[in-house]
Amino acid sequence: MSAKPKKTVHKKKHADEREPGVHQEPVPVLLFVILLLLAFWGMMYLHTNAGGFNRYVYGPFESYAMVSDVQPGSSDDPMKRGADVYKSICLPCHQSSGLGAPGQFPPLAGSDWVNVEGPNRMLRIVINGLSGPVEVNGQSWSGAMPGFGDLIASDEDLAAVITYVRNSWGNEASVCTPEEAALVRSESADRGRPWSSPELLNLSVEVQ
Amino acid sequence: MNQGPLLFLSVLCAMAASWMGFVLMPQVQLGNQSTRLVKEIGRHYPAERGGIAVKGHDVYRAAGCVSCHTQQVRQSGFIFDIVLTDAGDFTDLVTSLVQQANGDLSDQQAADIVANAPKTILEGVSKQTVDSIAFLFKDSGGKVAANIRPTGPDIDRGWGPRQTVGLDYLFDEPVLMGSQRIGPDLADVGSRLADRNWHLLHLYHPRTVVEKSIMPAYPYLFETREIGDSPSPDALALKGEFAPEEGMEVIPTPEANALVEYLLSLRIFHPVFEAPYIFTQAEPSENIDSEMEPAE
Repeated sequence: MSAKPKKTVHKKKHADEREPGVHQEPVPVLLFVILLLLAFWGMMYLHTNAGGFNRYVYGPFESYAMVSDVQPGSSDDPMKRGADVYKSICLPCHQSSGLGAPGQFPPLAGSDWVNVEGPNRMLRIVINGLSGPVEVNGQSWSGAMPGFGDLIASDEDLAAVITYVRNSWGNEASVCTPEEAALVRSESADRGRPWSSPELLNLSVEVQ
Repeated sequence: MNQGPLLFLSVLCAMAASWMGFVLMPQVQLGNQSTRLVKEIGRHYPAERGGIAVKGHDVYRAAGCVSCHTQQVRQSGFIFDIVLTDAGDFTDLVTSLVQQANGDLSDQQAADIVANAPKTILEGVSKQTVDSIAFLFKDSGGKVAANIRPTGPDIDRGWGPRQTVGLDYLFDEPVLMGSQRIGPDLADVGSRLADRNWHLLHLYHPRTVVEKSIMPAYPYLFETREIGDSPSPDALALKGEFAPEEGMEVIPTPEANALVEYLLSLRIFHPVFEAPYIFTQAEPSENIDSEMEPAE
């Protein structure tokens, strides 16, 4: 009684499914062609967009030659050059507005140390630093500024940043030349310690 | 499964190929970089982070800043400004050439440019135009220079003067480039927002300084304590609803100061060979509110 349905089930399985087994069937040639084309496209893509895998080639540039072709010349404009030196060295304390920070860093904008005939004192402060009490625009400040003579290695940069400070934020003072910067730098070569306000006030404002 | 060796070899090849592509090649390409002398500033770049900014890097990681802020500026193209650097001796000829280069200039404007060189003749032109104009001025005695200016959405937003490149991350361990821009990019935040107090207020409660900010507050980086004999000079200048109760003051913890120091150290201010840009005058951020416009 129960044997009948079992038989039908067995039969059905045989009719519908083949026994799985391992066969060797040829890979379609078309697949090889597609893979080869893909690989070719990939190589071409890298060839045009990878910049020759050069470490100096990024983003919109396509090759090393292209990058070296668009290098800007170093700016001859001391205000632009000075702005960059200012941004990298002076800005954290004296701020981009040149106003400094109340109670901590004296202002450069409208300062009576900046708006004088010559850059002698400013150059010395930047080269060797300034410590001890100092009076700026009638207000007394105490603090210490380190010297940046070693950091600003080139006389052009030193002159540029002085020129920038002396002609920004409403300041109107003379330009500092690289020759002046070089002269003051050589004079203060063996000083090695920061200036104090009275010492500087004894010096002339102009580079001599 | 009687094809074991074949399967093993194909998996090995697949893994080796991706390892070469993702690990070995980038390492060969960028791995052995060192600081480089940037001639424009006469110094080596990048400089190692010093002082408490090193600790700030850890605070940045711990506070999860990297989940909402990236540190990578992208650039999609570049344009040029053409500057007459030297007018030379033949001013009449150069004046006519300047007008030829930029047809919009009147006689008077062209003469002004020649008299006041260095001056910009044309702005935002392609490399082809640059080459044709350079050819125009050849043998005229006048000298023109082309200044490169990066372009792209990130640069338009003021997130940096140029794109970031591998060299910029030399001293970052680990590199915190980030991938989500829920807040603005921070690669150049130290230049845009150089005010230490602004950052402290912003961390204590972003809405004190940016009205529509969606950034969470980080009050645990600050200590609210009773005012002692005299108010601390470090106390935050909080006003209105954010001010602490009467007789209390909010003092930044060393972690907050370290984090701010780290943020201020994030600056892109040097052009490098692989990402050139011409120096431009530092322009302070006029409208700090625009900082928090969400990126798309």
